[in-house]
Amino acid sequence: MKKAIAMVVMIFLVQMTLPAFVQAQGTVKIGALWPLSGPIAEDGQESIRGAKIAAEMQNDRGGLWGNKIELVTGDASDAKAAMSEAERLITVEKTNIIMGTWVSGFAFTASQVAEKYKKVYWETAALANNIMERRFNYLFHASGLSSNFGEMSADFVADEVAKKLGKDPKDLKVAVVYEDSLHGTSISEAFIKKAKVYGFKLPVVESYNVKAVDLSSLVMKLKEANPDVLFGIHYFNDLVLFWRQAKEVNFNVEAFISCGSAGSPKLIPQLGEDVNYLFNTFRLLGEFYDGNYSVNLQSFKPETVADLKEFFKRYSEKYNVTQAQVPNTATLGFSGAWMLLHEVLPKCKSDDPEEVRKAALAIDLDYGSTAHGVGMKFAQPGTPNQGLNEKFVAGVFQWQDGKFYCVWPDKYAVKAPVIPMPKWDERKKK
Amino acid sequence: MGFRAHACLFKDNETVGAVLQVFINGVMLGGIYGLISMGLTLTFGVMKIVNFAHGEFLMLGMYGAFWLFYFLGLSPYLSILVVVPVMFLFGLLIQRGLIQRLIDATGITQIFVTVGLSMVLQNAVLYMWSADYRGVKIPIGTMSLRIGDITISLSRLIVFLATLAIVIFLLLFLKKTSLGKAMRATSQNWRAAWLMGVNVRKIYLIAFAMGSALAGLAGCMIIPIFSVFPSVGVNFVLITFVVVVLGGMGSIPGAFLAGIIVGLIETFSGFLLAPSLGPMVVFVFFVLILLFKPSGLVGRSRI
Repeated sequence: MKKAIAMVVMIFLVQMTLPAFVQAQGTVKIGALWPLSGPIAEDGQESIRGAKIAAEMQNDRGGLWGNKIELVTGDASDAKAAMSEAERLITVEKTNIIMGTWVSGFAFTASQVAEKYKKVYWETAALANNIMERRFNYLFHASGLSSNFGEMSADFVADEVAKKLGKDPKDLKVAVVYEDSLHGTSISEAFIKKAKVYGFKLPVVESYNVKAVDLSSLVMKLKEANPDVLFGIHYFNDLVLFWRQAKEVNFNVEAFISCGSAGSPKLIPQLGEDVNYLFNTFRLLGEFYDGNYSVNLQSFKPETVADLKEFFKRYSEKYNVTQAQVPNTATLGFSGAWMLLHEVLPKCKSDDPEEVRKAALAIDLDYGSTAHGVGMKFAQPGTPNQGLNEKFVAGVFQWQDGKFYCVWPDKYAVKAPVIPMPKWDERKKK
Repeated sequence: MGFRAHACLFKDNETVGAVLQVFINGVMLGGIYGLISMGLTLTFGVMKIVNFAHGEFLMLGMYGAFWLFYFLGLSPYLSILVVVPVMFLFGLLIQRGLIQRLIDATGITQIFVTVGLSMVLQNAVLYMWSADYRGVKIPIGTMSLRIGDITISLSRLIVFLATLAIVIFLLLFLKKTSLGKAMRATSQNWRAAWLMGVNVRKIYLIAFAMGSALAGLAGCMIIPIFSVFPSVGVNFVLITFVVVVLGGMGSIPGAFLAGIIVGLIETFSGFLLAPSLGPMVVFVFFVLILLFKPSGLVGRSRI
């Protein structure tokens, strides 16, 4: 009799635990913190679209440890909101990892919150150097920093532009304009540092506010200084306003290298043909024009190329655009998220921040193993820029005939750069 | 740094041309500021209510012009015929439903409610139409008149001339028509006007609706110049308040004049000092005026 009761109790207990084994399909919540409202909302929303597709693609491949990935979004509409949203994602939504953030100022504050709670912060895009100078233990940066882009732009000017203009770098007049947030300031600082090494003349170095309604004084100053080359750091709306006002006032320059939103296909409805000849220093994020990618994919890994193609297919179907119109912000959001969801997390057994941290620090992948061409090797604890991806690579693109091609360096270029830029009067004749 | 760049300002003939260009830029910018401020100053002049959602009315006007361009290919200048009446009706609804209840409220309540309205409109638009920047690319958008070395942006010149026309129209309306006179009477002393048989409620309704319609008109005129997105009103509303107060709250010609002065201050300080300082100098000037002549430049706070 006692044996029978024991048996019944045993079976009863086992049955109670059984659902836990059978119901294997739980969810893994991962925070996705980007600006979804306010002036930078455009880029934030595209980033999230890319990240969501990465989550979907990984879910189709089995998710993480048998669980479906669920992205919990937060709206980092300004620096304060970024902090409170990070707090909410961690304490209320109970996420162990937050991806984000695009804007340097927001990344700076939100990652502080994550570090306080010892949760992983996975930054995919924000550029300011001071984000990584704090040597946080739980902060990882998948992509490059301002110093990379600033220096690379200076290299391009000294290497290609000076050569094509037939001028010695020391005789080149380079004007620098930048939007006055952390983003613009940090890139311009890096550029100017390298520019001084090359010996460029810097007749104008000016900042402006991204919300400015009128940039005519800035354009007038530039016109007066008559530079050969213009290097600018802009977000989307101010670039449109600036370039339109430049055209109105007939401000001409031999080359305009922008570092920022000058790569967005959404510029075409705003600027039309005026977008041609603009250079953009940015990550290796291209478009498929008639099936051909605008970055040389020969040095990318075949699986990466396949994943990239799948992303483009999904994005263009989901959002009803051609594969030539996928915003590169979305591609970057995808790539950054894919690095986390497809490369790092599967090497863990759970989303425990300590495990994730260890896995990220241990990973070592070569260049061309991510959708935007970078490798993966994070700076180890104790080193400067701890948590930063050291295998970073980027290039310079140019708009030609309404299409955006990588033109430098040669390894990734698909077309040659066109320098000098035709004057506004010459353009009209086309 | 800025001063060093202009050490040779007065030595160079070319720079005289540059100064003239900056002047023109300032006047044109001022035209834009004046146009956007028209509706706000009218509303305040008559109703003594500060509509903090004015920037959003402007934004709605811009979106209206954009959608008409996008779906029907209608030029923004023609869209005025559609957007203005629609914004007038919208203004009537908002006034009747919301603003009317604020007439006797304290200033704080007024501020909170119209700010609340501003947030609601911004977020409703964000939800419906997303944060994408929408622009209207028409040839006029980047055409300019060239007179020697001076260029005048055509789209901005159109705004300037339109603002001038609106100022004249409004002044005639207020002086000559009985409705206009009733508005002026209400603005001067609503009780006396009421006693004289003016339907003050109706005047408030119409004044607010006109303010909204003027914001819509401004939106149509500036969409060839500025892209629209849900929070674009925020970029303009602060300067608009400066212009309205500087011009004397309620003064139509005052707002136009103040707009031009603000535009000139912004472009000149931007050019002579640094482009990033332009708006700051405007606000410093604003504070100084408030200290020494709080009723504004034109000196009346009635229309």
